[in-house]
Amino acid sequence: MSTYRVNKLFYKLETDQAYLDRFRADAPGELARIDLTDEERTALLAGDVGKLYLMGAHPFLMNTLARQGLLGLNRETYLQRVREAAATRDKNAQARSDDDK
Amino acid sequence: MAKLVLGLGAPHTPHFPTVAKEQGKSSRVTMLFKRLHAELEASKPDLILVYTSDHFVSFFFDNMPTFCVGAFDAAEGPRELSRSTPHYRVTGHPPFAHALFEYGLECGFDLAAAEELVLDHSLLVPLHFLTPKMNIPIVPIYIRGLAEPLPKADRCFKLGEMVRRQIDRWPGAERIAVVASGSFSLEVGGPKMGWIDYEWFDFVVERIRQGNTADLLRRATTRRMVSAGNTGGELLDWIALLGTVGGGAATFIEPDSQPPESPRDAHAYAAWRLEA
Repeated sequence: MSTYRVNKLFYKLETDQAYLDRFRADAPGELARIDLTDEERTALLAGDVGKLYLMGAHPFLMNTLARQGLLGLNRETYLQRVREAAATRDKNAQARSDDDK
Repeated sequence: MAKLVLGLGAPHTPHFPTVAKEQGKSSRVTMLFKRLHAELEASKPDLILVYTSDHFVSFFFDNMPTFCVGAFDAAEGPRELSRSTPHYRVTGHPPFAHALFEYGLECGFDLAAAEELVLDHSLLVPLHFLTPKMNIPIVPIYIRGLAEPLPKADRCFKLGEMVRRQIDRWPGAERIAVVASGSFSLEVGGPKMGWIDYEWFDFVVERIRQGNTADLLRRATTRRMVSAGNTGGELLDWIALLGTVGGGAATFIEPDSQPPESPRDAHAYAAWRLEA
């Protein structure tokens, strides 16, 4: 799965003021203009940065959502969601590796 | 003949200029950068080379070089919208940059070259403190440090050695300072954000202090660097600097873990004086 377009969205939000303004005014409308998978679009609209992290979005780029307060996120909710997703992933990986023993 | 006169290593936290302004001359950030600034002033450079890792500003995944030399006449930045770093325009040194590009080809380093760039905070924050008048030409040498896969530590060290040979063979009379911009343990936007890998940080600082470059290169695998945070690959900029300065012990290296201005950071400030 490529998260190229998701990462590109974050890149534009950090470097293009006019795009940031448009996105802030109408995120669903701007997301509709990007060739995303349904899964990516749904996760973005829900501010589900945990899911996006697991899908391979680059956290450094994605963090602009927290700093700019986009998609309903703030610094606390952003970090909480990414941490929960990573913890669940690690727990599942541990369970799988225990099963293999 | 050009002459390498100084090596410096510094962090580039985007809010440091604001911190320094708000907290004044007594802040740790101000004092530590002042030490580096004094070294730079004393070395009287005519040209500054900077090893840095772009933070998805000058380059994106559409075209992201592993190694790239900035060959611009002039460039501005930073472009990041959610950062408060002051805006600057810097001048470049295209003849030196192009000569480095060509010499690289001879040495098996097929660098990318960029004649137009928008700059990011990782280049401009150190320069803000080190050369605030922005009156010395800058040639950035970019090392892919934030987006895996990363180049290998040994390769970055050899890149630094190649740059040193280019400095030594450059026919101009420039006095040249080389700066590495980066941290050793810092995560941005990922689950480890706010955590510092002190074991790694202390190990790196001690190896640089001792000039034990061989041990540092052996341990600095991508996996080890990135497990200290998703910007951990910035160590590669320091490793390239070590290649350029000859891998010897730093004149000084000042670790600054948990500075009161920014308690979740750990950074290091270092200098190599290269003139007797």
